[in-house]
Amino acid sequence: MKQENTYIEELVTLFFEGLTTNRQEKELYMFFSKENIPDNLQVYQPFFEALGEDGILTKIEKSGLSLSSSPLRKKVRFVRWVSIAASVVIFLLVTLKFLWKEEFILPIDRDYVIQDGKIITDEEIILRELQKTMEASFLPEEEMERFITEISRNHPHIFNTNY
Amino acid sequence: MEPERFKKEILVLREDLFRYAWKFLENDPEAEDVIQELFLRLWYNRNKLDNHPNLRALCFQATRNLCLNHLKVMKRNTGEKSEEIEVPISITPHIQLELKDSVEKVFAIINTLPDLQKTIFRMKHADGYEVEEIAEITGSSPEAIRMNLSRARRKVKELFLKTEGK
Repeated sequence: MKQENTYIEELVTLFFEGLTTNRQEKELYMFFSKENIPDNLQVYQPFFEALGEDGILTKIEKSGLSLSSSPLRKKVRFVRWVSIAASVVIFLLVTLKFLWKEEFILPIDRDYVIQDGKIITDEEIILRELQKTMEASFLPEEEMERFITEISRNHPHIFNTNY
Repeated sequence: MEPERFKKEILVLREDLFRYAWKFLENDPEAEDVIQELFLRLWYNRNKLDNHPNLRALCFQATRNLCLNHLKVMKRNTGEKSEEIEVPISITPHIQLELKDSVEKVFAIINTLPDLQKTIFRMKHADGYEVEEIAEITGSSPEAIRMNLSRARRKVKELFLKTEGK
């Protein structure tokens, strides 16, 4: 009996060193499934009993490793996507808040011109004003010279270089 | 994929993959652990590999992912040596109360182990592989496998006894 206990103690040591064979491990499970385990080995009894159970082997068998990422990687990926989604939402909220400020809203939803501080929406008036502006920008040269002469006569100090 | 083809087409890449892993980790034991985990993942998924168009590229990509993952864990555990890196134990007092059954308790503890240790534990205890066979699959030395098996068993024992209040 004493010899067996010494042998089991050695096996327990070897087991935690990773040095036992499958056959030796079965011996350990068998030993610890018995009653009247010596005091110094009793601490290991529930542990080896559990490892010797068929139930645990079945459970471990079902929890296989996959080629996919480990839980840590999945967690990191999840956190990354949540961060991106949160950034997009914040960006949209800030942009909307900015755009909805009163001064950025157009006063009317039609074409208009502002003349002397008044908003004109009448298309006929707008066209007429546009035509005037276009014509003014193509004043004939003679008319332009006459205009300059007139100004220089009425306001000589503008063109007087000896002033 | 048949074990012979696995050896012929995947295991032959070991040295190149180790060097590739080393470039990321700059550390022999850590690169070795990553390569062991890689081959065990590939081994358990070998049936899905038969029709893969580029196994070499798959292996390098998986190595890269595992290395980056490893570096992230390292970063989280700054200052700790790689062999001390453990997934945080999630056995709360509440779970302790729930897990009155020793089998449930041991299983819950095994699930907290790092992937590599968990897989070696599984291969030894559930699939009935001997250490030498696991070493052959991963192209590692039996000593390297024993080291991880030993770490896993000690950790499970330590936590189990703690939950038992011993």
